[in-house]
This record gives sequence, structure tokens and C-alpha cells, in this order.
Amino acid sequence: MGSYFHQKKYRDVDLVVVVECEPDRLISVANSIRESLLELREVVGVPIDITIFTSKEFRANPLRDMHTLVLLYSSDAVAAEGK
Amino acid sequence: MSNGNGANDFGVSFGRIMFLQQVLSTHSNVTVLGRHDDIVFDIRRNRQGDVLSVVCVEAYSASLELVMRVVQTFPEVAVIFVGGKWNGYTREAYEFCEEHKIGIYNAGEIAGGLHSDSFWNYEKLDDEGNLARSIKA
Repeated sequence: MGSYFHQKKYRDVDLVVVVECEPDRLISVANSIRESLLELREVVGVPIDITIFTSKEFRANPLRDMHTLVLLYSSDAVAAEGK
Repeated sequence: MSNGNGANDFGVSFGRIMFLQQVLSTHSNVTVLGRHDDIVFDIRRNRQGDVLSVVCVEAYSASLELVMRVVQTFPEVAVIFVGGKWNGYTREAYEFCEEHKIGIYNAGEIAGGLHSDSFWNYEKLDDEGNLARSIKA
């Protein structure tokens, strides 16, 4: 998560995806996510570095400067808006 | 290239791969047998006489998904190297590796791990004798 945290010009985009699923489905879910995001690389024009955490891992604050992460999408938020 | 070196699907830089090669080739208990698929080193441990596959990744916090993907891609993996001393792994990734008898180490841990008979659960101690695993939490 280097260039953003160091406020340098970026050469890639770091994307953190948090998933909630059973461990035996984690790889297939992750493969679907990576496949779905392939097109995004063409749009942004730079490599996209995808890190996938389980919700349990993410709750343990595994990254440096967690507070600077920018939320792009939350299925919880979408569900709440629909209510 | 027939050995698959030159590119990898894990986003590992050539510099990181060469760093691991340097660590392995200068380790007193290790003979490097070769490198393939860009990020996999096959080594023989001199004292134990076993042959291990060491896979190089690069992650500040190696996740469960990352180590599961490594195992799916390289089922023979014995040791996962996550990078420099500032890098580490989540508790879930560590527990998955321990359960599957896979060592997961950063640059500060791998030398000791490769000396240990049970290379999958080498415990580095800090100066005060406390466990010093690089679990990010």
C-alpha cells in the first residue's frame, strides 16, 4: 500500500477486498473477484494489486495505516440503503 | 522459458526473488537445487537431507487467501517466504500453514526456520525470550 500512504505518484492501485465466506469457498470466491476485476485494470490503465482478507482477518487490523483506507463499496451499506 | 522463470501471477518483483535467492544461497544448511515458475526454489537441507520447495511472495500481511492460493498453485510447497522483516502474515494464514506443516517466514525468521527439523513451526524468540512471530494483528 506504498505510494498512497507515502503520498507519492502511484504506479498501481491497491485494492483490499474483505469477504465473508466459509474457508473451503475462499479460493473460488477469490478467483471470481479477481476475474471480475480484470476489466478494471483496462479502465484505470495501471496494475491493480488485490489483497483479499476474510472479515475475521480484517477486524484484526492487518495493514499499516488502516485508517487511511478509502471505502469504495460495502454490501452492508448497500443493504442498509435499500431498507 | 521452459522453467517458467521471468513472470509470475503473484506480483512478486525480480528484486524480491533475488533477495530470497541470496538468503538461500548463503544459508549454511541449504543447497539451492534450482528455481522454477519464477518464484519457487527447490532446496536441499544439508543436515536433515530433505528437499523442500520454498515459494516467494511479497505481502505486508500475507492473508489466508494468499497462502491458500500458493498451496493450490504449488501443492508441494513446504515454506512460504513473505518478504522483508517488516512483512508478516495474519493469524489465520499462520494457523493454516501450521496445520498443513508449511513454514511461513519473513526475512528475519527464515534462517532459523530452515535450521529447524520441524521447519513448519519454528518459533523465533526476541531478546527477552518471548515469541516473536510476525503476525499482523
